[in-house]
Amino acid sequence: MPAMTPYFDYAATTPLDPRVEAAMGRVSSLGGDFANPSSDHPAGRLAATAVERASEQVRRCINAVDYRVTWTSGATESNNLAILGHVTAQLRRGRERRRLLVAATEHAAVLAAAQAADALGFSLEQLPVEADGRLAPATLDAALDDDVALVSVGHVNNETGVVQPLASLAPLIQAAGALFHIDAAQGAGRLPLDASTLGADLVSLSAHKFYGPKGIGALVHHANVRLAPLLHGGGQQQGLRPGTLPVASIVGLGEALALADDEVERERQVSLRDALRDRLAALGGVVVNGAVDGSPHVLNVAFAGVHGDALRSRLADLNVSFGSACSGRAGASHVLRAMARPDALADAAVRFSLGRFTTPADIDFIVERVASDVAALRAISPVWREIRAGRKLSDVYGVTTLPELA
Amino acid sequence: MSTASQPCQNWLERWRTAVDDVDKESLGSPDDPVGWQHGVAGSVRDNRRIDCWLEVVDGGIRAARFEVFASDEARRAAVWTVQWLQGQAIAQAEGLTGLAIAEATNLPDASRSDALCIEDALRAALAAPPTEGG
Repeated sequence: MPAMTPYFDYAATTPLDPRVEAAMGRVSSLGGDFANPSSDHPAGRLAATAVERASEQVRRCINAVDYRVTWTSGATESNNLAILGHVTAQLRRGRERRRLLVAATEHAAVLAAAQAADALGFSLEQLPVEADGRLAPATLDAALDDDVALVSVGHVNNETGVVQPLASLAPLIQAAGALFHIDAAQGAGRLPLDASTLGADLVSLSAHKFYGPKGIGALVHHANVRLAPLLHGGGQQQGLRPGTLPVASIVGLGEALALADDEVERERQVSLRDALRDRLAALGGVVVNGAVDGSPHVLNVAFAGVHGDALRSRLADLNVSFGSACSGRAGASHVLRAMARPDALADAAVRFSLGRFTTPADIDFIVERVASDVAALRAISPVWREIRAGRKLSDVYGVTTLPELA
Repeated sequence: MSTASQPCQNWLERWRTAVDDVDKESLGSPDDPVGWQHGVAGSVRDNRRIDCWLEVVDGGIRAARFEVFASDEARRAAVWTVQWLQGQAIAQAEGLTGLAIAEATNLPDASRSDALCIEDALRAALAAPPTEGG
């Protein structure tokens, strides 16, 4: 296998923490808690205890003391269960509320699940965000009424690292009597999250985003929340999500979450991210897609005067992202469009996401490479020539305003 | 994660240097545009813009350059077009079509519009007066 360039795609997935791997290995082996936790015998009960221990770890890490933990295959399933599970439960109970509100920058898993609710008679409204990617409380307030069943807001945006002002949004949602779902796939284990204090009703998690195993996630939901299952079969998890529980993976999620959030590491990543941003900004014509105080691990920038296709071709050997790995689509992302970035500029955006194993030498490498390739493309670009000659970015890209350059 | 090994990194550097050297001879605006004919095709809004610069002397093309805000395929096709244009008479240059460029450079179907944009930029340059100084 050819040697790889440094990894800058931690927002897509993370490597398994060796301590987590060891914990999972102990469970999986013959002397471990490998049995089916639904089995009513001593080995099964030991496995069930391991599952409950992991549930406790999750509850403790996000301060969700009176909440239930339903294990899923990942945040995509958790988001679907939160939205469609609640919508279906509403219908069965004859409840009247029929509107769903989500921010326009939400992950495709949230948007698609909410759009699927249309077939069940629910309407979806995508709320516009500010140019920095944040959902303004006033925007949410204007959309809320007593017909809103559920509001879904991502804790941290996967493409831009924008951190939503959950503490400002939560009281508005509660006052309207709607459920509050937080997609915490990108934020859990990276930033503190206090489900109880926020009054969140549902929280989605995904282990592989915080150095846990792939294929396991959780929906953490308040005991008062009614959900209908999306899958049907055995009676596991009170019938809400049937299927034999993968004990090793569940143990892995619990361990990974307990190990993940570390203030010192957070500050280290902020420092690396800021260094990366400042050094790229020195190229000139760099637009930062997101807020200055975004999540420590994500930096999304667009290079003015550079064509997106050509940039992706030049940087093809780098482990960076040009849009969400989950969307699998070419062209400008819906997140950057929602932030009013013109398509041609959004197309030239690169997401760098850092992690526990990112080093200053990695930053040096990526800056040197990107700077070199951007310079090469700008050297032959008529658009960059005009920008260098003094033409305003907003004129070049045909928009009224553009965010400040980095 | 480890950084690229030395042999892999050297290969990448040599490839990029080779591409960039060819690009420098064919692409980018002329150092002194006075006297050159300049044509523009496409727009940023369309996410494709190509500029053509021609140095025309005695009814023939002494030098040509393109600026490219478009895909890698467009860049390759523009480089081919520069090499084809060198020394051509105006009448021959006027006969060059996007289809011919696309076929000569084996452009994939999805990139055929790039070749048409190169043709448009060339025609605009052929029709333009020489750029004046000042």
